[in-house]
Amino acid sequence: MSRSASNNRWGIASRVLAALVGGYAVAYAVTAFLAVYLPLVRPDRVVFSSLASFAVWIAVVIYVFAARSAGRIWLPIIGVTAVLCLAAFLSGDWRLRP
Amino acid sequence: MKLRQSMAGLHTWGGLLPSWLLFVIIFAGTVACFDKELSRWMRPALHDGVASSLGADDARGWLQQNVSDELHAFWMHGPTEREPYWRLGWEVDGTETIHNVTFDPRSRQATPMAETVGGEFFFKLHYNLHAGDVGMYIVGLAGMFMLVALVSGVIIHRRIFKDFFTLRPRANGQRAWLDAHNLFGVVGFPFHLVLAYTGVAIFVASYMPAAAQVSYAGNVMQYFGEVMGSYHRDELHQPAGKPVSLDALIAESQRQWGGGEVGWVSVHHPDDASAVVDIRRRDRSRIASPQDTLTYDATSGELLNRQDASTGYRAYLWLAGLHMAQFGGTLVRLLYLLMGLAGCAMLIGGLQVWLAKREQRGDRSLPWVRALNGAVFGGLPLASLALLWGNRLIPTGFAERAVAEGWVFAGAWLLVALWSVLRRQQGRRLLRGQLLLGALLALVLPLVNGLTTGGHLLASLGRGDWALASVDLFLIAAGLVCAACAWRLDGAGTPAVIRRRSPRVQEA
Amino acid sequence: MLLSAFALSYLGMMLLCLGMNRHRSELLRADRRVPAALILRSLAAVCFGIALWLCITSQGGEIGAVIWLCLVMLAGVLLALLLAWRARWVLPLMPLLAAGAALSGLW
Repeated sequence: MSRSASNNRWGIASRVLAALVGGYAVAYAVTAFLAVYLPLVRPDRVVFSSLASFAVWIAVVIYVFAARSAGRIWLPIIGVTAVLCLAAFLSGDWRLRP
Repeated sequence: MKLRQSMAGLHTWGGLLPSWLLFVIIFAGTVACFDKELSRWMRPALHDGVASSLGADDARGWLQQNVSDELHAFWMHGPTEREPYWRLGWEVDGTETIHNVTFDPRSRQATPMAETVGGEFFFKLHYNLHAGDVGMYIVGLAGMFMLVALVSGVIIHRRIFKDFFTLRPRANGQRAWLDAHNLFGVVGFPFHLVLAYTGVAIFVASYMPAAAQVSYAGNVMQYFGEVMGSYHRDELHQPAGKPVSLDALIAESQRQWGGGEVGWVSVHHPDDASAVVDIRRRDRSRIASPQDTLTYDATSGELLNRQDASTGYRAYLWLAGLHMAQFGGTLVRLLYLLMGLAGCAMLIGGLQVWLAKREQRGDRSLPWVRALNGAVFGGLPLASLALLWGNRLIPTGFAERAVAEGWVFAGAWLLVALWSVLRRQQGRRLLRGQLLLGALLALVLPLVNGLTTGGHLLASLGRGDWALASVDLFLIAAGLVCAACAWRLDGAGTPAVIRRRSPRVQEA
Repeated sequence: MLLSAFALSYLGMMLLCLGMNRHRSELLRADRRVPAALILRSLAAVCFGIALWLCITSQGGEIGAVIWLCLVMLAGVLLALLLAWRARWVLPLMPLLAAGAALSGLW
């Protein structure tokens, strides 16, 4: 009984951390990705990708708390962040196009 | 754990933890709908309704005579309907502090009016809690919590349409409060969602710097310049020549726009040869502010740039405008005020549900939660009233008048907080006491206003000055509502309304 | 304009309310029959639509839409509050608002 309660506490802590930090990380990555790949002029890319970031963070928070297992949420979060950030930064000078 | 269960947990705790902070933000924002009307009320010099005869050059003249430091920039705004006086602000080069002054419209020469925090106090409390950048980030985080609470609330609400009008005040405590929470939350949902989202969107560049970092290699100033379509030129480090008349540039701008009002007039690096004058257009007939800024050379008056804002910036301004409610006149701001109060009601209702659930268990932390409730839900409105009292009673000649007003606000809030902690075991008595105090402060204030200034209610009504009268009228109405609520919560501790109802139930 | 749009919003909300079994008994005598919920809801939609049109023609597209949405929300809150404490006022308020709207239009 006490072991499941302390598991639960770690589970909640894990979810809270994932929601706050992981959620921001995913939002950051999505924003960076969209800022490179949206088919718009540069100032518009920045504006619209940034405005979308809030919805992304909220979605991640919902996902983190809705997921069945507190442990398995981290892989998708880290994965998505890594892939999108990589795609954004590997675009080289193309991301600076006007 | 099923979805509804997990979302219920998220909603309860994600909603509970920031609720006191969100109350401060929403309440301050609600009051700030009428910040300019409050500013007028707080400045007795404006109570006569005299129109200002000053010009932009008069304001600049005052600045040149009274401020000898080298300036980074200064800006001014002419009289408008809601703010019928010239306003001037400046930033000294090297410092990051901004100074402000407002000019008495009754005087033919530029004469500053007595210092006051004005209604802008509530606006600032709303967007950064008077805590600078740190406060701005805290408010942003609170906004995100609110958005999560709204989304999770929709997920867990089982019968959104069936329960749409359901409000059973005679049901047991938890049920009744839950109905109230759901009513204000669901019926007001479009408002809460839009205002929470647009609110965080306003500071998006600070909250999410990723895009500018990636697309502009971190050169944020270049991003701002491009997205706004504004003009910037570097300092030449040579002394400025004789500046051209600002009033002439204002007239020229109106000609360029084919009519139209002038808003903010700002001068950048005024003491340098590179000085430019930006003249912004003012147009309240659309949600987004107009982006038609004209930039002139400060010495020659030559037109250097006509603003060409990007689509993204216009979209951003539309969202920001939707939040700030400076469009559509008094009606829109009144509607936002009512919906803001609904937001506060939703918040308080939610907290009452949480309390009612745990009251049966006799949780030991409950008195502290009640103390916090009293400190915030009672403290903030009472402190706001105290601020207005301070504005009336602090002498005009007092040097740091605005700071003093701020201390009256803070001091009053601390006292109410202390009161709430000391009376945390007697929730109903505390509430009744706060309501009575609120009624007293609100009802007597118009009298104090009448005794200390010429702008009392009868005078302003007589002149048809509804903007000024509305503050006094609102105070009276609020005072009466507080008194009525206090009367219904009689001292014995049981709400009179339940006692009166029971005979009728027996008859049925 | 304002009062007419609010009156129509209130009417729309009232029609929606009448279409719900739970509230119908609170508002009408037991023997009164009302049209099917679908008809009531369609009528409500028409009311909201006309209110929106009034707001837009008076204040322009975007501002009119914002005002309309706020009026609709406030009408819903008012109706629910009345239903909870003064259910008998719900129906009579409608002709009162309509009269007020007509008078303000004539003024």
